Parts: sequence; structure tokens; C-alpha cells
Amino acid sequence: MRRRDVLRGAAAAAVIVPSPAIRSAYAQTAKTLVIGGSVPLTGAAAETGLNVNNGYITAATYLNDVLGGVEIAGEKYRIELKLFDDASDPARATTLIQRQLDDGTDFFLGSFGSNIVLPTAAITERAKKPMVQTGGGADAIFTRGFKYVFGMFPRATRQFASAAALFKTLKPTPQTYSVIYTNDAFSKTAGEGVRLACDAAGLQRLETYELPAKVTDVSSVLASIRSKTPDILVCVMHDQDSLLIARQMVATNTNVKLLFQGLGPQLASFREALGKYSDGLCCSTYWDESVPYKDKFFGDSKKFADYYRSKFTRPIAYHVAGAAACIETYVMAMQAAKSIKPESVRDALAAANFETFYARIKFTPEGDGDALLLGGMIGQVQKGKLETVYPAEARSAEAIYPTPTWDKKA
Amino acid sequence: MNTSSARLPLLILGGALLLALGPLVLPPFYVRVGQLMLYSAGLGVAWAILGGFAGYGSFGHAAFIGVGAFTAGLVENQFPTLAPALLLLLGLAAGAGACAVISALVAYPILRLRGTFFAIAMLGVCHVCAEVNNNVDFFQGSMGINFAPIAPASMDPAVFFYWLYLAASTIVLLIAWAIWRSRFGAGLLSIREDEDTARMLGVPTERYKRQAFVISAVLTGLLGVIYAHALGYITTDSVYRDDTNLSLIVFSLLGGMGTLFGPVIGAFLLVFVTQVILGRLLDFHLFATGLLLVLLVLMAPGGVIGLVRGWRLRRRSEMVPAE
Repeated sequence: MRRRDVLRGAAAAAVIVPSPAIRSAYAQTAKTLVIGGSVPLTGAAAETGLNVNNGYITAATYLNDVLGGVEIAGEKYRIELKLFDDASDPARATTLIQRQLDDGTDFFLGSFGSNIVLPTAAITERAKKPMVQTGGGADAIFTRGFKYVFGMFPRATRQFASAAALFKTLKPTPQTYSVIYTNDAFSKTAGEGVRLACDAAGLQRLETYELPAKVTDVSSVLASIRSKTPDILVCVMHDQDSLLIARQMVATNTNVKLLFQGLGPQLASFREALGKYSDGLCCSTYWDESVPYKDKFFGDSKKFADYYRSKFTRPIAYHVAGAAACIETYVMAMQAAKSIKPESVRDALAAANFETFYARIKFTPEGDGDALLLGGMIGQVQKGKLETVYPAEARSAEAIYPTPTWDKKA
Repeated sequence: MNTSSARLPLLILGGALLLALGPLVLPPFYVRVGQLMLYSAGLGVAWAILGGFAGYGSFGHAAFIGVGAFTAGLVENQFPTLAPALLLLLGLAAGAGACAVISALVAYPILRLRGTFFAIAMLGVCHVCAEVNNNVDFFQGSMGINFAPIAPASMDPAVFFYWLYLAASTIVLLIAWAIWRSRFGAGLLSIREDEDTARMLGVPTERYKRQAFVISAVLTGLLGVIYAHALGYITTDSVYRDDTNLSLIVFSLLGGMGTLFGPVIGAFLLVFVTQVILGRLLDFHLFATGLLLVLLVLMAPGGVIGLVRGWRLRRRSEMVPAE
């Protein structure tokens, strides 16, 4: 026998012989609960995809390593995540999901981006396997009659419902609003949601302004706002564009009773950049580590954030929390169903009403998040600090309305 | 068998019939991989009509996937009550028509460029199309567009689209073969070898290039329509993809640039490597793919077909008795 053959045989034996022993020892400790999915770790959606991935890992690691697994129907389970990089490519994501289905995976987490979530959800739906996801908000995901797909956000056109609900509670009641959005998927969808929610709340829309995807100057829009001033100006766009608008409003002394900026004021850097002018600005806060919700696993949001920081150096974002809540939601649904059968877990998800560190989890019959419970809270900058002003159960301060004019903030 | 052989279509159809049996024996994952292989092969061959035959390598053919897909979606959504088969035919006709018109318009200025200038200009065309699609409300690129399900209720959509891709890619391959063995094809090859000499010898180079460009764009657009239906919902990012632009070139590089079957072999190989072998790697699958491609191109610059041809030549020369 040649030396090469001996080495080859020894290597094969090393791989094969201990395997049954390892498997049997492992089986005695805890059962494994496999949750699959794809995430965009590369490509166009990678920036947020990494947050989603980290959120999934944080929750699974905590449940396994800190709590020693989760108990479902009297059995101890360790969560095994099988996540693959879909490279922001919907076609690749569908093959990855199909492979996991073929391998026998029963539960799925979502990717990021509606254009990836929807084709993959169509596959898991057909296989009657649940998918809980935090990355797809397009209405199309929730209007196709899917029964096994659940989202941690309301569908896109309902995401402004909680802000509109706040507007109705303000005194004196605002009568008019205008909305500004930029020409990109996120902003445009949000703008449509603002129009639907505010119109439904009985506010009169004065103007809708659509800006280019890359905003450099809004002086003409502000001139129009000064000549036709709404009570509330809603800007739904990325934080750097929100900052530009706020700065130009200060520079041109363009005042409204309330300036609502979808993204921006929730960031400390944004508030520092605007200084005292940031006071009174409102924004949506889907999650913040100061939210008061209690959680049966992590305890609360602060503890979740601390644990996350002990594992990752990447700054925490609400997508991290949303992703971690997906796994918690699965576990609580399984505990409620006392089963890990996909159909039973699906029914428990549909009936979910769980409190987590992220929010109270409740889905609509179509599977998207409840518009008020999962529609985000409303924050307002007061004395440089972001206070939660809506909903009532999470409120840390009363909303200030009308807000002082820019020259009074100076 | 020689590529120009009149019996080749029979071989292509026979191969297609064999592949059609795939979903009956393959597990669902491999049916989806097969879908991607067939889609990629069809795109690769459509690209090669211009890039391989005429030597005008485009870096922006994803533009026609996008134009075809979005045109089909916009038109189909005007007729929500139409039967699924008619809806698909309507979408294919609309997508192909839009690609034909746009490519014919673009062809005039852009085909005056050659080599890398043409390639980069096509990348620009793709990005302009993507921006227009994303920024003009009418196209719904940023919000996304839905496609009605067209697969029969009794059939697994994965199998249905596998067969649809197979039919489309077979047609694309047959068209490419017909071009290859025609006077038009010979003209394209002469353009690739030396355009100025070809023109001097009376080859209508401008007309041939334009025709190849439009045919290539239309076939790409048709596959884009099927792709959009298979996904069910698309945004600008789903179809105007730079990685697709690059993959189309890589298919020919891997299989054999300027050959009929090169893009098919390249597409099958690349999809198999990226989806099956490297699909399970979370962190470094792109690095591994890149490394593999670099190695393959260095070791086989003529692609798989070049490698086989070289091997056959060496074998033949070994068989010639020494004097």
C-alpha cells in the first residue's frame, strides 16, 4: 500500500468514525431548532442586511449561551441559525431558500428589501412554512393572501398611522399638512403612507413635494411653503436630507407649527448638528433602547443593547432589534402552541399578542404588523433629548405643539 | 459536430428534451438551480450574438432585462382580467417591442464606438435606464411592480418557469445558430476579426451591427419578461443589476468567447459553482467565486471550449506518425 493511500484512509476514518459518537452526545443535551433564511451581506442592501444578520445572531446566541436554550412543550431546544448571503439578489435568495426547504428547514427568517422578501416568501408560503421577517414592508407582500408570512412592521402605506394618530390628539387640532419626500423607494413609499394616513385622519393636504433622490437645495420648495404654510410639515427621507431641509428652514426662517422628520432627529449626531434648533422636531422611532417594554428573555431594551454591544462593534440600529424580535416571536409562538409543527406555530403567530423588548407583537390578519403597536413610536426633541410622546403607554413627555419658531429657539 | 452543421438544431432540440425531464427527477432545489442555469444560458447566448459574434462586448445588457420586464409589467397591469397565457404573450410582445425600439434608437450613436468605449457607454445606457426607471413615477421602479401569477394552479411554479426558461433559451440558441451559419453571421464574424477590412470588402458593417444589437436586445428583453414573472414583484434593483452585466461577459469568458455553446457552458458552470458549491458559504463566497474565475481565466484563456479544442489538437498532433 502506498503512503498516499494510507494517509487518505486515515483522513477518511478521522472524519467518519467519531461522527456517530458526537451526534449521540449532542442529542442527549438539547434538541436543535433550525431556523433558516437568507440575508444580504453583500450587494446593494448589505448595509442594513448586516444589521438584520447581527440581530438574528444576537438573539440566537443569547438564548443558547446565556439562557442555555429555550423550553418548548417541556423540551429544551438550542436554536441553530442557517443563514446564507443572498448578495442582495432575489434570484439567488430563492434558490437558497429552496435548498433549505429541501433540507427540511421548517421556519424562516426574512431577508432585507421587499424585492427579495416577496419572491422568497412566495416559496415558503407554498411549502406552508412560516416566515417572520423585518425587512419587507411593501404592500404587495401582505395583499397576496399569504397565510404564513409575518412582518415586524406595518405594510408601507400604513407606517404613518401612529404619527397621524398623534396629530389628532394635539391641541389646537392641526388642520393642514404638506409632505416632502425624495425620489427613492423608501422615501416615496413613506410619502404615500403619509398621504393615506393624514388624509384618513381628516387633515387637509396643501402640497406634495417630490425632490430628486439626491437633494442639494430646497429653497424653492421652502418659498412655496412660506407662501402656503401648513400646520404640519412632514419630511420623509434619509437623515442627511432631513438635516439639509431643517438647516435651510432655519436660514430662511421658514416656520411651521410642527416639523415632522421621519429620519434624523432620532440620531444624536443629527441633534448635535442642529443644536438648539432641533428642539421641537418630531420623528418616528421604531425602537430605541429607552423604550419601556419588558421582555421575558432579555429583560428590557437596555439589557438587549448591552448584550449586543458585548458581541458586536457595529452601532446598534432598530433593524437589529427588529431582527432579534423575530426570533423571540418565533420562540414565544412555539411556547404558546406547545409545538414546533409549522402549522401550529403559524396559528400561534397569527394569534400573537406578546410583549418583547422591541414592542408588543401583534399581526394583522394579512400578516403585517399592527399599525399602532408595531407602527413605531413618535419622538420629539425636548431640551436636546429625544422624548417619546406617542403612544400613551410608552410616553415619557407630553408633545409640545405648536413648537416655537426658529428665532425664538436661537 | 461542426457548429455550422445543419443537424445541430436536432442536437439542440434533443438536449432540450432531455433537460425537460429534469423537474421529473430532480429535487426542488436543483429545479431552481436549473431555472437560473437556463435563464443565464439564454442571456449569455443573447449577449454573445453581439459580444461574441460581432466582438462588441456590452457592459450594459441588463438595461434590456429591465426595459423588457418593466414594459411587460406596465402593459399587463392594464389588462388584469386577461387569461394567464394571453397575459404572458402580451407581456412578451410588449417587452420585446420596447427593447426593439430602444435598442434601435440607441444603436445609431453607440455603435460608432468600439472596444472598451462601447462597453463603458453601454454601462452608461444601463445606468441611465435604471435612473429613469427609478425616478419617473410612470415606470414605478422605486415602488415596485407586481406580476399576476401565470403558472397553472395545478403546477408547481418552479417547474412551470423551468420549462418556460428552457423553451425560451432553446429558441434563443436556435436563433443564434441560424445567425451563426448565415451570411449575416459570417458578416458579424468578419466585423469581429477586422471591421475596417470587412467594410472595405463590401460587408455592410453598420447595418449588420445594428441588426445584431437589436436582435440581442430583444432576446434579452424576452428573458427579462419571464424573469420578472418568476419573481412576481420587481423593483429597479431587481433587474438593472451590475452583477448581471458582468456575469454575461463571464459566461462567454468561461465557456469560450465567440462560440455558440460557450455562453451555455459558462452559464451552467458559473451558476453551479455559485449556487451549489459556494451557496452555503456565508462570508467568503464572493471571494471564492472571484478566485475561481481568475484561476479559470488564467489557466484556460479560451474558456472550456478553448481548452477542449487545444486538447484535441494536441492529441491529433500526437497521432500523426513521426517521419
